[in-house]
Amino acid sequence: MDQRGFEAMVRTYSSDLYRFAYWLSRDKHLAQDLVQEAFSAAWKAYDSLRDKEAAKSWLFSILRNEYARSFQRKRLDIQDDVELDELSVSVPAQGQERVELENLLQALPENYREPLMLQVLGGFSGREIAQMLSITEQNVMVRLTRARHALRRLVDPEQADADVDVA
Amino acid sequence: MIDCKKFRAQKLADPMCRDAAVKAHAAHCPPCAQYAVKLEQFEQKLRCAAVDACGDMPPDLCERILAQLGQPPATGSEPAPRKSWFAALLDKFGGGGTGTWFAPTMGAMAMTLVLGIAGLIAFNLSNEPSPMARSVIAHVVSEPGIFEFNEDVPASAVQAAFAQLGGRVEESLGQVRHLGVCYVEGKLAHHLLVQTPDGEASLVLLPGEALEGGVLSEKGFSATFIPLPKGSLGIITRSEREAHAVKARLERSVRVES
Repeated sequence: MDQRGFEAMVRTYSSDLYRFAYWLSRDKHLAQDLVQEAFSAAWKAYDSLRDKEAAKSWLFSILRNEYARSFQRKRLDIQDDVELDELSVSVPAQGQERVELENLLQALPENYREPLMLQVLGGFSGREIAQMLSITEQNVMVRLTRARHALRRLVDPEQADADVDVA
Repeated sequence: MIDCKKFRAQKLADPMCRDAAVKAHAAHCPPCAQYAVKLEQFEQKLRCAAVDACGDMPPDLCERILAQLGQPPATGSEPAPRKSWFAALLDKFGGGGTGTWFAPTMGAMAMTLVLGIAGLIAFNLSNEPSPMARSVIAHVVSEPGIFEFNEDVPASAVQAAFAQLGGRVEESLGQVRHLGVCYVEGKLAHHLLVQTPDGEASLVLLPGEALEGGVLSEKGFSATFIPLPKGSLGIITRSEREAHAVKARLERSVRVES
């Protein structure tokens, strides 16, 4: 067992995982618990991680599953096709753009927010995100495009006009 | 060379994309180059907002994580070598006390050599594993903690989970050591860990399509499905032999709600 290797992995990826956990749960305390649980599960199975290059996506996938488990939602068919039309905020005042962006990210439906955060915070490619979410790469790209356009439409409508048709 | 529409679509999906086609288009199209600059600026703001909202990670979190790893980890089992279809077939002929619902079919196929050969081919085609088998194995690989659970899940909870997909448990599956929910293929599925007389099995109650097919073995696990009225029961075990045995057991134990 490569204990040092695992420790290095904890130090390397814990803040990325914490941020992703926050955006899944939108709760800082729960995010900490999720990261701890994810690393605990990862430690138990560390020997099974054959490709150390894949450690990051492996950890993110474990964290997603810990989140699903902790959330224990009752319904199975949740918000698969939530659309973005209802997303809205007041026009941001000068200097408040970042706060508005935070609020918009909070309001973004989970099926759009999750791939966006995997890309923005995790730096994963469309193909990696597709594997993690078990959806097609094309579907990932559509969700990323729509999520970004929805945010831009509200924060910077002029620039969003230059976006291609994302319908 | 990509056009403006494709360039913008690609940048909107991935603003940091720097592949050759994107670069080449930006080099000769000033409006798109300007669009890319603005998009990258927006991306910076987006990242800052996403990072700022979380606040800093508590400085002691790493130490807490490392401190909780006091116990030595369970040794990961070596992946079972993937068997060829022929070896799998020989297993089935051998039986080994793990008779499956396919056994009578297999016996008939073995009656004549000529028909046997044709039967082998037919069997291999009809018994093609569902593509979803790969997904459920990947899911179990990404959720290693599932095999650590040793809870006492009440039968009523198990019954309720099966009922959501139109199934009913008529005979005990074995000791259900865990029942939780997980994401599989973008949907929330019930995930069980069951200690059956035929070995440990991870079961996934996957809503949607009714899947069936043979056993797929990879990454140290074997997976197969039983169709249910509102989805499928995925069976993931540590060996192909166990997958067949657990499947046969579950086909006897689980009935469809009338």
